[in-house]
Amino acid sequence: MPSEDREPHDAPDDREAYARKLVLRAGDGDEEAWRDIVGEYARRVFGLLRSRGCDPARAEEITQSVFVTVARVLGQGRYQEQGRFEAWLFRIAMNRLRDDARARKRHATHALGDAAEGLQAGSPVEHQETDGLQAALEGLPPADREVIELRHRADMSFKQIAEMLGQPLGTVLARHHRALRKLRAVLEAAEARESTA
Amino acid sequence: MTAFNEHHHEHESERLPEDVRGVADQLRAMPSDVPDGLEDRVYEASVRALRDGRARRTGVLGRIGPVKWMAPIAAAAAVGLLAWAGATWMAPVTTPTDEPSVVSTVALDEHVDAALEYADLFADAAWTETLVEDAESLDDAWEPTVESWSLDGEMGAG
Repeated sequence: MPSEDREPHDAPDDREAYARKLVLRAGDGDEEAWRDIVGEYARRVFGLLRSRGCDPARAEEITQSVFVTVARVLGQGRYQEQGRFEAWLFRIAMNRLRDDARARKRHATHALGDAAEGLQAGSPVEHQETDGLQAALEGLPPADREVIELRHRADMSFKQIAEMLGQPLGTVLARHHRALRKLRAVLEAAEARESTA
Repeated sequence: MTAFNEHHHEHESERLPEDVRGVADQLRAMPSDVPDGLEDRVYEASVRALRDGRARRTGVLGRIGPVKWMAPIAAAAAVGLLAWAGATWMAPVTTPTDEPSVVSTVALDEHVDAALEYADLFADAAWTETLVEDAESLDDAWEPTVESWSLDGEMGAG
């Protein structure tokens, strides 16, 4: 059941203020606040993981592990609120994804040999599910693709992305714009090929 | 997309350059394959960690704080260590009980003689008297025990 603080916010500062309120309450043991946090961020973390090549089961597993970590830290009062909860949350998710990918890569290398290729982070597992836009996304340079995914899958603000990646805000904005233009060019080229075929 | 971000995206769309606005809209419209009940499962898996963390923080030891509850233990350990070190340092050197020391009255007499000689140096009768009394009381207090005395030892046998 959503708490009384749950309401839409249209500015990054409002979003952080909203998150801060929930985080403080959850840290004080308010389980409804924690439910709101999960409701707000679980899909975004899951979406980010899926966009990085996780299959649904693994994405859910990592999502749960991320929230268990966050809950433990909040419950123990070890989280220092600095207005960067989202960036912190997604950083945990990205780190967990990298750890998981490394572990799977090691395991797959021993157990399956060449089959490990499909399990590496960043490589799509279910190509059959990808459409033109997804294929275009996969054709982007990793740095550009990361910005797009963080912005449109994880719903992070540009400021948060800049903080998380340790890049100037202007760089992130420029990369985002450039990536969108590349995507548009790829999609238009595909449409043109289809129309002439 | 959550209500939390829906408004944000609507406003951002208006700010994006026109040439890429369509692509951004397409990206946002990409189908989500979030499984049903994801939030419930994540909540159930994580709320226990929140409770456990909270319990640890608000428990008796948690409320006192690790530094505070460990401080008395550390202090007691330090006092104990000092006491042990002091006792070890102050304790007289004792010989093992299976080798009883050989004590003779000759040694005591020598001690008394030395004391008297020392007293004579000062030529102070009162002090000499005191020293003699001390030596005699020491003599009275000293009683050889069966364990600490042996005829063989007295006779110099090894």
